[in-house]
Amino acid sequence: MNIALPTIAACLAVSLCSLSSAFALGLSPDTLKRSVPFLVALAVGVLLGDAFIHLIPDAVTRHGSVSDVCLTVLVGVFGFFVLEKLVRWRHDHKVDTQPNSSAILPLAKMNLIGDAIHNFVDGILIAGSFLSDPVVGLTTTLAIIAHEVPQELGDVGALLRGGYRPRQAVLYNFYCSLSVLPGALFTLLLSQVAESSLTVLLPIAAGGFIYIAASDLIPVLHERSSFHHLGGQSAVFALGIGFMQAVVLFEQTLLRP
Amino acid sequence: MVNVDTYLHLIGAEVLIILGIVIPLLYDQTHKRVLCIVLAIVLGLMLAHFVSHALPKRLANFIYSSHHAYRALQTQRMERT
Repeated sequence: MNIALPTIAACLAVSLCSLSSAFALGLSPDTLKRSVPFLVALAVGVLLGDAFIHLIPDAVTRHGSVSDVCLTVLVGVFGFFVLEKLVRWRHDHKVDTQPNSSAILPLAKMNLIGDAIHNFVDGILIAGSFLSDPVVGLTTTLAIIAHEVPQELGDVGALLRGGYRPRQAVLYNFYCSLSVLPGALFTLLLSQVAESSLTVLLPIAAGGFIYIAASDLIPVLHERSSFHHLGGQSAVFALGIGFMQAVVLFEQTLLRP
Repeated sequence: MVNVDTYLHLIGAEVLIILGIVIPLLYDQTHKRVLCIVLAIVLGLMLAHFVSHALPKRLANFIYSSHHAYRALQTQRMERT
């Protein structure tokens, strides 16, 4: 039985999930504007939760050495810092942090790059699990879909905050989610290289998420300091972390022999 | 194990849903037209497969399912695969 077809079907299902954020287009501009700070808070919770609860422990399990994984996470943080500096330098030498101009903020571009790397890693994981066993492939796909939906929602919030129009935000987020297919094809063609590359790619994706959440998105949350935003944003932030923890428990239940 | 046809149907359906959501979001008319052609091709292939394979198989199952010879033939095919 050819394993490529179920892998492609699973990858398309993951890409389809990124379009779940299209429901935001049905909201009125006022509602959307009011909900963006909370979507950004959700993105922070989900990104940090994904990095610390999901990606780093997974990398440690595969690699075995905690110090090496932590070093690679730091390399990821450093790499994303340099990348953002390059984006800012290329785009404008005086980038404004407020989205009052038509310019797209670097945080949106960084988010797209980080999301594309993350989806590429997801593609490797899906194809790798289908290669080992179709049932494990199916459970891995379900687990990835479970964490993808809130993350894509948060990502669209971050892209809207970065200056993209709602339709552009949904579309660009979808284009990034398509990187799951090259990741899967790369694994199907070069399974051993892809498997060993996960020990580097997982912590680098984690480093990218930590950098984006801590340096680009958390400062955005501090722009509003009313009691309403304090309570709401903290609750949504915690909800994002709680959701990622629930996904880990869900994965453990699915993959238990 | 699910057969190849089921996976192809699943992939086709996913592509159709993705294109159905993405096409209205596009601004560029050229991109819209190209994706509409892709949508029509995928839909056409799926319909052609339905008319030439799936429908005759369903009809045969409906008409001859009470015939012992037909059921025996189906069982033989299952055992061979």
